Amino acid sequence: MCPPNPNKPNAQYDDVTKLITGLENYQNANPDSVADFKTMTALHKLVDSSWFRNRNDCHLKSRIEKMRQEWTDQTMITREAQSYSTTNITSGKRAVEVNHDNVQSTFPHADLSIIKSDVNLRGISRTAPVKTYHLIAALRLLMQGVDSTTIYVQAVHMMQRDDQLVVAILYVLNMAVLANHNDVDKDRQPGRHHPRHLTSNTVDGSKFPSHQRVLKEYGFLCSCDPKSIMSRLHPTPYPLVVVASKECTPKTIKRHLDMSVIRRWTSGLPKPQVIQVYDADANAQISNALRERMQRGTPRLTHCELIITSREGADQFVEMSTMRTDSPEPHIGGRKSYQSEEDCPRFVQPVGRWILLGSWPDDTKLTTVESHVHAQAAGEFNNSVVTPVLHSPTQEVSDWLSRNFENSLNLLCDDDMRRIRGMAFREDEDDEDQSSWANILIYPTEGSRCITINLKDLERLNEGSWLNDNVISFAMQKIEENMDQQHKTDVYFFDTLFYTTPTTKNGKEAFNYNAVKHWTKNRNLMTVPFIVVPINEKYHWTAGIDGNDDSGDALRDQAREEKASPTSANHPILAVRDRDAVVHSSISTNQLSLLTKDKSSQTIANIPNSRKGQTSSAQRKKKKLPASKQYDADMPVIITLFGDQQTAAVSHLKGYIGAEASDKHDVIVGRNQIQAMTAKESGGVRDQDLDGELDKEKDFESFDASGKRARIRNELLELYEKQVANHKSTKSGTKFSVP
Amino acid sequence: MASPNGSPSPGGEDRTEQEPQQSEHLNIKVTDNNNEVFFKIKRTTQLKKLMDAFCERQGKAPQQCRFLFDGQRVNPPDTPETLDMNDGDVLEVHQEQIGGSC
Repeated sequence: MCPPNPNKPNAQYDDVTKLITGLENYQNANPDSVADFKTMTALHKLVDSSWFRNRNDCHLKSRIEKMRQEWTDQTMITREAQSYSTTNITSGKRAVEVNHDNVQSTFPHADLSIIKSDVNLRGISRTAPVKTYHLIAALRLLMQGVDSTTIYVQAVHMMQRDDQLVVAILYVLNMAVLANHNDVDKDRQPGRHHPRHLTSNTVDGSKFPSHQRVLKEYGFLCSCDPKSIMSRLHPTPYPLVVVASKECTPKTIKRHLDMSVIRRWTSGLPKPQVIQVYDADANAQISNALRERMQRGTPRLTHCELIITSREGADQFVEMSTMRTDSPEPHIGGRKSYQSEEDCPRFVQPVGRWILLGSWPDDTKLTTVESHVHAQAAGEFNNSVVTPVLHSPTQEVSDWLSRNFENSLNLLCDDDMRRIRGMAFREDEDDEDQSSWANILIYPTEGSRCITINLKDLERLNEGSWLNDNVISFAMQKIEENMDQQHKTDVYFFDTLFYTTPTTKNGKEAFNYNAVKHWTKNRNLMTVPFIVVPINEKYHWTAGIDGNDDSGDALRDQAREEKASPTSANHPILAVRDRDAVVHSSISTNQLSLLTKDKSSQTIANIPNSRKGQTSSAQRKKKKLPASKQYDADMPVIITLFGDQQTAAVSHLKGYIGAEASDKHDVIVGRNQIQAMTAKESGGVRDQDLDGELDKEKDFESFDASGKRARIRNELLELYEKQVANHKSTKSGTKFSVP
Repeated sequence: MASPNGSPSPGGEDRTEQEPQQSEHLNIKVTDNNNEVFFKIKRTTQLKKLMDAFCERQGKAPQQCRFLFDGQRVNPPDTPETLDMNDGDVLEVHQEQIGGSC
């Protein structure tokens, strides 16, 4: 094995060498071993790669060739490997599915998760298969002995089209191997491969709990480019070891962490704190720091810590963390002898599959985890995230896992997995419909205002993602459904595209009433007290609420009774607007999601209401503007929230009202007659018992945006399942059964 | 997909009665403000077909396109019949809207 040469710029070479050495050792120790197809493919790809050719390393090549040769004798495997490599050239979910079955049937012991990661890797760096494949070989190597779920879960998360990244992952994988070695023999120097250990792991298929624990405790996150990690970092219970290249200054890393990680962190988890930002070269520093921690008797990091270190630093980190392994079992000849059955590793025979999402705070609800799983499944659909899969066959195992985790661990069972797979890859027998519409939910199933929600839209519900029109529409639909029957006729919800349509023409801003003239052909807007206009403008979601109260005398009376405060404002338009959505944080989704809020209709006054958890119809009626002194009760009023930048929107809405009135009803409503106000200035909008100004921090404080997102996601999933079930039951009928 | 055998519609018998009144085929214009594509489709054909065709022709991802007919979302299983479309009607195509807040 080549010792690392500081002068050699290419660390990748070292890693590959290490890998090859490891494989050779494994092969030597197991003359009867059967190379799995992935390793074979990986080797094949490695040799064929341009990277390898450029290196022109005959020595290494001959080693690989020899290895391949020996393994090629296993003809069945080879054939399988070949077919695998060829069929997999095609990408897309169909191919994935086929190969998945293939793999499963041929290699019953093949690890689903590795396959999944394979799939994802290929999807992501399709252009550079070699990298993925030799990575997979490394993973495979690990998988033979260890449950390295943690490691490659993280690895896959950060998989990018990033050459350096692969190197980094390889490095981490190597570290894991080393950790495993340390586990066997603590006295040996890390950095050496010990074939026997690998052998023992592979032969009996056992996995070492202590290694398991190490990996569980120290999730690794490595990248040469923190930017690439941070963009897809998911909440992890593990301390993060960011392996950064030397070009990355601590400042850079920290900035990225601050910007992305912390903002994206689930609200359920404590925000990570960077305990120390280590300089890229500060190996001694990190060692000392860790040693100190260990001496203090608190070696275990809490999950809200981030350690940023260099590769070397991370190496030492692992080394040290494994050194303090407390496994008392003696190691005899590279095998563990177990004192009792109790001590035996439990991961011997994977019979079931579990999804391990990591550990969560104790009070985390299962639904939260579920929704993350679903989000991940949806992400998988887009090749962006892989769902970690952990072998854990029995209740015993999950118990074991639970016992060994400080934080609570949520395991989802096989059914969930199926459910998710069913979502991502439609498992319907009817292959007739493999078009792009295969994974859609149509909701509601009847009526003229159905919306189509693609399952891809579920990603939009991920924390920190921007919402799209489908999600907004769905949420509005839900709001409408949950309204009291008697009020349903009082509110008309426009489509999310409504505002955009007349206001943009060929990408430019203009007002063109004709574009939406037909939209209301079946509806007399002037008789609808409240009109909700979702507004999407410059990547902001906003709602305009247009309250036409002139026909709503009864309503007004009712409201008056309920509120004992006269309502007025014939045509109030309420525009709830968010500003500057360029930087999006989870907090900000509060405002956003108020549009999609709970049962009450989304008007300004009931936003504060919801803060108090009141959803009675009386409260809902507060949206009716109490008679305000400064506004004419017979005229439309435009009310805006949060700011002064909505003049264009107000102007457009004014224009629309005017045009609609004159076109459909021959009523002239001058622009001047339509008044505009902001919620801040309008005492009229606010109810007396709603104190103070509408402060977006304060008033939406209680609004649980993440929770709302999760709820919507769950609703969508349920509906989708219903639709599938419905579809199956009425299979003889039309494809999309409309009851 | 919409093969006559594959999707026998329960309302098939009714349709035969209606058919004499309305012509079987419709010309539908699909426009996204820049491009206009005309389709001739049967009243009973799912608009999914048309949407797919349009997206394919324009090189757009179907998931990012929103089809509207008179302000009403068009869903893949809809047909001109269910939407009560007439000859020469226009389907508008809009882009997916995304957004956040500050």
